Amino acid sequence: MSALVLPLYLSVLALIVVAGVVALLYWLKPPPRTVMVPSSLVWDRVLRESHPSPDRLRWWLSLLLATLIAAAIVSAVLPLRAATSGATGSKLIMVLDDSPTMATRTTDGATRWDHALAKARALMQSRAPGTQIWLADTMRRVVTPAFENRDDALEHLAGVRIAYGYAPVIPLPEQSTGIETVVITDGVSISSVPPQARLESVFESVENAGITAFEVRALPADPRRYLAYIELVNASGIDKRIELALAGVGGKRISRVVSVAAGGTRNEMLDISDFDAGPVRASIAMPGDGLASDDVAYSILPIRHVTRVALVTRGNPFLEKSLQAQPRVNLTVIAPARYVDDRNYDAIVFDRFAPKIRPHVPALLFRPSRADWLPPPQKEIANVSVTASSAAHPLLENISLRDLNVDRALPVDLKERTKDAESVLASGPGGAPLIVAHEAGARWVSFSFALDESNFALHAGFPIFLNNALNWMLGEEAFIARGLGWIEVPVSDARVVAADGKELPSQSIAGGSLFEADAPGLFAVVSAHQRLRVAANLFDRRITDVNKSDLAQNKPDTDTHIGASRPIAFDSWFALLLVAAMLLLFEWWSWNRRMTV
Amino acid sequence: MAQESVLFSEEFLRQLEHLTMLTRRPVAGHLRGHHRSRRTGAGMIFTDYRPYSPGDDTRNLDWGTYLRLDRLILRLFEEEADLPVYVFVDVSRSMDFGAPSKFDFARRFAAAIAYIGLINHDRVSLVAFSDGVIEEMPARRGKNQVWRSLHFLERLQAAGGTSLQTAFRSFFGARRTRGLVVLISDFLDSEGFERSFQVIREYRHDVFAVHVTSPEELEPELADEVLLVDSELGHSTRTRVTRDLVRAYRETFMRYCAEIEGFCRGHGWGYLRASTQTPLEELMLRALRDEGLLR
Repeated sequence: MSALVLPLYLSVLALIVVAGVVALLYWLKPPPRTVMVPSSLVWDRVLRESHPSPDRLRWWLSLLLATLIAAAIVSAVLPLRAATSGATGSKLIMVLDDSPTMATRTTDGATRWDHALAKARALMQSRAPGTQIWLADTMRRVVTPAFENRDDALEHLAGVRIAYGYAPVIPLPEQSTGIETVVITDGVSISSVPPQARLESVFESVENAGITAFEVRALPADPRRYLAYIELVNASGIDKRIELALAGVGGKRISRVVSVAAGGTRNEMLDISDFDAGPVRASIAMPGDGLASDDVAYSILPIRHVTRVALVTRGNPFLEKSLQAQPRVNLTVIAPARYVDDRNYDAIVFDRFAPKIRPHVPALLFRPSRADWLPPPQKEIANVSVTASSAAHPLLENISLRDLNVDRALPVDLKERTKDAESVLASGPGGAPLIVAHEAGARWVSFSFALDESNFALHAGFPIFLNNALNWMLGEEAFIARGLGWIEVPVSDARVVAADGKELPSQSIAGGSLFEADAPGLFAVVSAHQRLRVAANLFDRRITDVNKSDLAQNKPDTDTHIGASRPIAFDSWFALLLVAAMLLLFEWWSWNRRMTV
Repeated sequence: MAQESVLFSEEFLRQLEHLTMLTRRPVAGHLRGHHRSRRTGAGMIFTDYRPYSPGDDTRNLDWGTYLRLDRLILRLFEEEADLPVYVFVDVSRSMDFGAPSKFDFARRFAAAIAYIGLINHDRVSLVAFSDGVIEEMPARRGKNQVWRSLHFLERLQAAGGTSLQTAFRSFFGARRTRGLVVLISDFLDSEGFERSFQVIREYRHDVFAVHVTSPEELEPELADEVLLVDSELGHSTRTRVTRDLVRAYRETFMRYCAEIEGFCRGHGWGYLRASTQTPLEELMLRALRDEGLLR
């Protein structure tokens, strides 16, 4: 059974318009000529005998035609929606694809997401108010989808936004068999839909280019020179000329136009040595670009200077060479007996040794001897592997401790230490601290084991760790790069501030904080003792390829009107207007033959 | 509509002076006139004999019979009296229709009848009626009352609806002497004509009905969608006029006229259907003679 569903105010409006059109049609006709007759005595008798109520029939016919004409016009103009299912009790499962590619702009200026929302809204509104709708999205914005009435579902629909950082899936309720299921997607992130689902496409092929990688690195040969590495992808169907620009602090800027073949990739390395330290923004510009979120990327150009490091050891050639291999390290090796607290060093590395008094400069310690300023050691343990680590900590960035094996370790006891100042970066069985970092005052990092008692020095990430440790200990602002979406940072109770000064909502989680970046940007994560820069970028070739859809062969829907209720269909309202015009012609014809009044 | 004068030409008046009104019944006039009376007396027409009684006029004794039978027999003669003529003129709004209008035609017709009556020393009363008696000129006699009668008719205005019954009851309820009633009307009475005519029958008058029609009434020039407005009642009827409908109207109108004529003839009344297009001279000098109203 089908029914027409209209809001009350529209129903009243429709009735008024119908009445108006009927009256207009009546008044448009020339009035009958008024003829004065001496008496209606004879005429009444004639009309009574020859025409039994002819005018009444004509009047009804005329009213019927006028009403049909008006109804056809009103139906064509007003957003009438056909309710295709029963009023109450029917169910609908609606899944919206809110993956990043849905932000792609289409030729009409709206995004695929706008089309999807409009289509979803129209589909819901076409259902009777009592219809139970299960609304969900592929990126799990709707956390606990459930069947709810149409108006509640429409309300929830308004809160769904494009999300980043998850792999899209099509959620379905446990009992979905036999229930009408609609999936609205562009088909880029979603390659297949459940067999019972009807796929509503919002795909439209567009041109797009994006940045899929952006890094700022020092030259290994010269740590004071930096290069920016950029990877560009042209996801358009034709070759494109793309304008690439790099902008740094103080108005420094490099731009160039590069040609990228259709579907191709291009790598660019730009020397940004003359840029000042701080944020660097990479952007591309291409006429008709569909997706904006992959056109910008951010990174940080770190502080560049030579670091004076003292290695206090009785002899550890491996560590010595590793430190000397660091591009910016000026290393001095001294024996523990000759150690004095010298402020001429930027950092000191202690190997199996610890001074009685805490040094004034940051320190990296490998199995230090007992000292009052360090946590007291516990009982030695053997054959230890890492069971837990704080991978989000800047010290462990790009470091894997999964294969770390320690022959012997002397874990420290942190029970009586200030928990705010010290954090365990890695722990062994039973929570025995293996790596501890101290942040208050001059920073130090202490390993419970010596390098020659573990395989850590053999790890590929060991030089990276040394670099991370020096950066962190020297108080250089820590910087991490993440993708868009929810970002976990190892800063507890942190405030997150965007580049424009706007504070983002954040949540405290165990060992850090969580915030959502829904656009590329540079964020400052600040806590009482810590400050961290986070560059959030959309580096995903699968997203930049906005045309890589299974629905590309299908003709995109054109009947979804953004920002307005969806009429029955383009051809429907056109047909209704045609019917109205034909009825109008018939009415005129019948009136000329006096079949109507 | 500008009212037409009821004045006639000298020639027409001279022709009218040769006419006399006739009535089918003996009149009940009380003044001497030219019409047969129910009473016997000084007259020219012999009616009967009766035995002489002392005091009778001896001039009427039949001396021949006395010589033969030796009895005194008196000869009786009809007394000739004047004729009360009541001319009813319909001044309802329905009469103000056509060119010339039925109203003007009716007034001219009434003027001519009144002139003939007054010339012949009949007692002529003029009554203007619509939905009742609107105005009345009491009985007048003699040629010198002609101008008064014409002035009365000149002043009349067409107004109001038609109620023959109300008008007749109002007028004849005042015990009028029986005479000749000349009804000049279109008889378009929404209550029907039969009841009103029965009222006149009750008073046993000799009636002559002049049914005034206009060509526009008989052949209405209507086409297409029209709103017919009743000139008297004001109510309107919307209809589409077709050729068939006009034909049906014509037939119905003629049937209506025939019904009136049938009633009149059936009750021994005179009837004349007078079209406004027919010259009044022709009606007076020929049609009314043929119908027996004039001689």
